[in-house]
Amino acid sequence: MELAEFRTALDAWLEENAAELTPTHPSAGSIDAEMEHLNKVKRLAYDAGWMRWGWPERIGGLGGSTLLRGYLGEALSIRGFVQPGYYSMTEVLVPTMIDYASPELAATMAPRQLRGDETWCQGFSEPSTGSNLGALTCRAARTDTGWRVNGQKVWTSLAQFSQRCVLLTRSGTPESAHKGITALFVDMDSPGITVRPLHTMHGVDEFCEVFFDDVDVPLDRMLGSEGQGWAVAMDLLPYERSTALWHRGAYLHRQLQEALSSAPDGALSPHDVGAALEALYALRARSRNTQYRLAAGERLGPETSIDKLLIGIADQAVYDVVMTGLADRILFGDDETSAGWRAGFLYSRAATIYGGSAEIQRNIVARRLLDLGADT
Amino acid sequence: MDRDDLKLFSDSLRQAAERHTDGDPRGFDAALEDLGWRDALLDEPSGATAALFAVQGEFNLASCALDDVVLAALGVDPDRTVAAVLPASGTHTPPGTLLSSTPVRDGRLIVRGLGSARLLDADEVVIVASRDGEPVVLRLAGSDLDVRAVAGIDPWGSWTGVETALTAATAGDAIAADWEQATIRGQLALAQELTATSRAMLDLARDHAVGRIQFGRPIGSFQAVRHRLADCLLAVESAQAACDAGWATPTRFTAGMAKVIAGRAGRTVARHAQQVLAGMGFTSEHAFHGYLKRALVLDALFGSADALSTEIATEVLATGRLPEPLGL
Repeated sequence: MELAEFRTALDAWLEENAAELTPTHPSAGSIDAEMEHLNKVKRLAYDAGWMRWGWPERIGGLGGSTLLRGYLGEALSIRGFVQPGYYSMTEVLVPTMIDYASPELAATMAPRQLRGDETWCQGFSEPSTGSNLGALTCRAARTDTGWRVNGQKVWTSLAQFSQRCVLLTRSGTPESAHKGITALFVDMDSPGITVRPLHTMHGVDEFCEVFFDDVDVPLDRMLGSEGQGWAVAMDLLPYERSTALWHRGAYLHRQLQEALSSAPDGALSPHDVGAALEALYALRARSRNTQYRLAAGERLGPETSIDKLLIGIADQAVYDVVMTGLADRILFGDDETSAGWRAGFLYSRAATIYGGSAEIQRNIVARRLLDLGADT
Repeated sequence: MDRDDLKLFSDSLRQAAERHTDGDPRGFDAALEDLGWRDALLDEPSGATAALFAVQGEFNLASCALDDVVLAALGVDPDRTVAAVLPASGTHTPPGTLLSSTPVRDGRLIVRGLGSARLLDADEVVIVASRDGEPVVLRLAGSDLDVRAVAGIDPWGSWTGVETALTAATAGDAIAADWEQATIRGQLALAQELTATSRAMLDLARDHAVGRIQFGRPIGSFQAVRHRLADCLLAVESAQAACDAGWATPTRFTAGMAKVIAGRAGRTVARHAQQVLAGMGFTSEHAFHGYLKRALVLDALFGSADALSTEIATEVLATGRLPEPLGL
């Protein structure tokens, strides 16, 4: 299937099924409804075949270029059918399964994620290791049958909805740093796991604390081999900084358009709008190139930190316009639509923090792309 | 011209640029003649223009090639004896205004614009003028136009200026001009040069940061310096991506955005690189200032970043519609 053909056919399908794909829940505050709707959209798109294109046949895909996945998420986001942050978890975690899970495990699990049967989360950050991922301490000790996990994760998006977790654990000595990390694919209903959603300042309980208390994980749930967890993480992050960003860029375009349409006359100056247009255009141009590199089979690496920095800038530039144009509603509005804008604005303040802070991205750019030597 | 030919052309340009160290733009123009630049331009407008202006930016060279780019876009055969008048500083409106339209020869032609060194001795000068709001191409003998050699902030650019009013008697027939196409092509060429200029400034600063030792360690080990340089690369890569998108689909919007983002990159990189290079970058013997000054001039040609961004945003506010986003 070629992109042009896919685009035409998908656009027609989306138009035909728009009524069913459009969310009916309020635009803020109801993450349960949001997740339910997301899984419904994925299910519909999977059954119609769209969700399977761009994925290899060995995990139930239909093959074809990864650009098809890029376009599907874009098309769903720009129409407001899905929140790309939740939708794109698929783009982050399924490639990891393909690359590092046993073929049987990948073939069993990936379709469940694509079809919206399951939600997965990503257990990376810990209370004492936010930016310094290599210092994580959530402990995995070998047992006769696998691993026993003890410790805590935090900022785990959607853990309360998740059936599985891609978990980074400390399997080596505390001093083993990057070398002593092992990645596990953990069932979230395992005995010993406690999930506690965090109440955030934007009112959407998206992030959680996850506690592991003697949680047994079978050996065949290892992603990669023992001590290969850092490689798993380093290969996963470029996915988080490529297709997922392309989708978010489409969503930001929609938000900016809606803000323009909703702002009172004269509320916005060309200077305000120009700044957001520039930031969004730079992101799209860069991210587009990255999509084509991914499709050509290039291995993505630290250069995706540029994409990640650009989306932080674009996200906040767009919502700065939203804040300027819709200040009255965001500050004083108590209707559902105002609450949605308010949540969006507040969430955008985290765009330079989550998924590796802007400072960490600049460190990566300096060390890996400009070759300025080690951080001191 | 296929992919390999274009690569060969690009490599030859680079070699010519490396050999051309005396700073005289006429020398580089002569090298472009030898390389068949105008044939390449006609054969492969986007690829050849991108290749040349990237090399010009990287080596901080000046040439009269922008004339050729504009002429070709207007459908006029580019030639080394034919010059094009470029828009006045900061703008991208046609440099000419033709008052009293019929017959053309009785009209007054007001010209206010910039140009390359070619304007000084061209046999023929092509001017796009607006007549009742519509752009038309006028062709004058070079000797009819009063041209001033411009030193300004960037004397190595060998820029020229025209500010004159004359009767259009010698202008020949006014033919409808595709000024939009000329603007698109000019903006993309300049955006590409600005991007390469910016990357060159970053390279200078990066090398300095690695080699310069203070407090017993390279200054590039300090996070304040590292983050400045990271922001430079961010700006350069944004500009290159915008150029790529422009070359792939040249439209009024994509070319304008490429020019805006490249213009911003020029300012951003110049500011950070200047700070990192510190005292050394402030001397005339260091290469930095040549790039800084060129970047400022390139930003002012065919619409500055500020002016273009305001213009695009004003249109968006007037229509209430964002331009179509870049697609896959």
